[in-house]
Amino acid sequence: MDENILELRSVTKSYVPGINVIENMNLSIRRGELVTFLGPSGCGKTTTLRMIGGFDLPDSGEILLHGQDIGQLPPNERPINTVFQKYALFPFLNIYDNIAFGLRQKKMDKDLIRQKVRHALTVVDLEGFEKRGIDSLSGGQQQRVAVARAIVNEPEILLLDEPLSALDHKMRLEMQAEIRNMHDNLGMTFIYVTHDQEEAMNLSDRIVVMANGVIQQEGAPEEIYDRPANIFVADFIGTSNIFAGVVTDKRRARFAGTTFKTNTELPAGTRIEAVIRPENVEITDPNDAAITATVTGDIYKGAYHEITAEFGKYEVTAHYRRHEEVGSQIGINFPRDSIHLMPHDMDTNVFEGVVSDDGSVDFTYFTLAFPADERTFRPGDKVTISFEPSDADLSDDEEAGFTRGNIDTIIYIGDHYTYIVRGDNDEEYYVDDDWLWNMGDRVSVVVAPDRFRLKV
Amino acid sequence: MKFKRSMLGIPYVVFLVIFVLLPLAVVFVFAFTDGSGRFTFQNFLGFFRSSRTIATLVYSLFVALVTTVICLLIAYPTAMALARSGFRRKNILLLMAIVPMWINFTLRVTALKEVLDAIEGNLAYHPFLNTIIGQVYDFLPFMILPLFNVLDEMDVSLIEAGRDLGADRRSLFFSVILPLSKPGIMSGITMVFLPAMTNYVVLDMLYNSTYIMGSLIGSYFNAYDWHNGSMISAILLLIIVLFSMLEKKGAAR
Repeated sequence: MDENILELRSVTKSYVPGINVIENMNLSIRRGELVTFLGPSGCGKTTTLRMIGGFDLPDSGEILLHGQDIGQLPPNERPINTVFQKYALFPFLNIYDNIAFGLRQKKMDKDLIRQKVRHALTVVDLEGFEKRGIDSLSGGQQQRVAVARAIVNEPEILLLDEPLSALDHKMRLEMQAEIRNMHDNLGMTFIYVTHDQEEAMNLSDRIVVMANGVIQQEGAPEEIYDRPANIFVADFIGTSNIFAGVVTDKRRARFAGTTFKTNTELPAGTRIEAVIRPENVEITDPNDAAITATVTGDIYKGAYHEITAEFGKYEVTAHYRRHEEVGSQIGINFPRDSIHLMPHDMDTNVFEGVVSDDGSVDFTYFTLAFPADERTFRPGDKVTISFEPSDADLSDDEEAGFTRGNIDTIIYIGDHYTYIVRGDNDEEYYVDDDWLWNMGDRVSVVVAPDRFRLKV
Repeated sequence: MKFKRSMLGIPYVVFLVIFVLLPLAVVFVFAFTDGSGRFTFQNFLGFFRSSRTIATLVYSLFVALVTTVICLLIAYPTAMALARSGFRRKNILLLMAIVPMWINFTLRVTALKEVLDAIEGNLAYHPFLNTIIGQVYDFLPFMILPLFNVLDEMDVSLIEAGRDLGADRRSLFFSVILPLSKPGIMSGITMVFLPAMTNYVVLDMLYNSTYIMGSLIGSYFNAYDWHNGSMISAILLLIIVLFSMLEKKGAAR
């Protein structure tokens, strides 16, 4: 049962030349698995699904079904069916004819079609609805017809494109359980796309977290939640307290102004981000705690109180069974087992350029000029430049910085925000800033000249 | 007096009564009376008994049918090409297909007459062909417009669903795209078929001396026979009502 039914190899897709929606994607899906593509809108999850379905073709790379490349086949030649986001039921056909549509394309025997449609209706719990028009159905029922219409063809893989997004919360939970049941009973491979992390957690054998056209992490729901690979995943899945810090010595790390015992195997000096889930934060008497904090907020969530508290320049969120008065002093502990450390991604803000004749350096996305006496390079030299996110600042004055873009991602890290600024040519800049900007804000990136690291 | 929103409808109601309801009433009164003002079915019986008037009805239906079919055959691919073309150019292309409608009708048919005359030598040789060409030329935009609207707004996900469920290009057209364009086809047909039955000006200008329903009304009225002229109008009205009922039924399915 462990064989791979589907493999994506180095799949790349762009709609606009130069801007890749999917970048060099590699992914294997096992037979009978329920895999969820999870990520914010625009992360490429739907594009990936559409390429598997055949509605979009990859620019390069292979999509292998049982080892055969199907990447360039049209949808009707793939043994794959889709449940569309807005159901896409044919309004001019009744329920029976909608479900029978795929079988009739195969010129199947009429009695066999009737038998299969009946069975599909049983699976989705809509027996006796054959003659009804689709307008007479509720959203949830239309959803079931859409599922029946797809599974009746007995596809190798069933694709579901945010199928529950149009339903209300309660209905969504019910349908999640039903889809999971259906998957287990049919033994079919399901690939599910959603931006709802709770839905992904409820449904999946495996979650593939995507951002900016790149797979950030893949793994079982618990793995993704407990051991996120980087700050994107930690921030996107659930609420998180994220602090930047460094491993100080064996099994110890310093972050949020305090040194904590951790289970890390990372060598001393490694820059890290620490993740602590709010439900793991302990609130105690100030005298028994590593951190003393002031309560700034208490929101009652039914099962718990969501407490926010400040200490120094940091902020922490905790789930607590009791109310805490705003302004009161509390103790905060991060239990050793609940601290997850992620090595800081150093591969950011690195750009390659070529020195032009006038001594300035063309980095494709921007050009930098250096004072003549600081130049250690000659025209034609290849130069690599990098800067630390913490050395960069954002400005709303477009002329203030060396390059411009729009805020694409915001992640709160304990005492500051990490931003990804998307430049006009789809390049990314990582910038730490104390101020809160909005998604989409037009900014320029400012770096003091002496904070650039230059390599010839 | 306090202003109510329903008062906004007053101008149209006045228009409706004076120019639609009143004339309609006059038409029906005349259709069901004789010269001395007595109630009679004689006008209608006369119409269905005379082979000349029945022949006119059949000829009108035939002209309208051929016009409609040819319009549909030309307009559907045209509308499809317009709807599927690139986003920005689309409206300009549509405009090019629609602009002929803005040119004065008489001017257009006169121009067509000169062209056909030059090609055929004498218009009298092909009266039926010329009539069809003239009618199609006149009514084509009315077919393109509703088809374009329905094709342009067609839900792409339904087409994708069809392909997903295994339909090849041919099957996709006949079992998804065509059924989805039915409302456009139906309104295109009503926009073309009914006017084509009565639009005798085209026939007159292109020297087709055969009568259609419109010419029949004209000839009775020219002879001051208000009763028979009104009778024909009433019959046409009946056909229109029947037709739109059929269309409603077709659209509801």
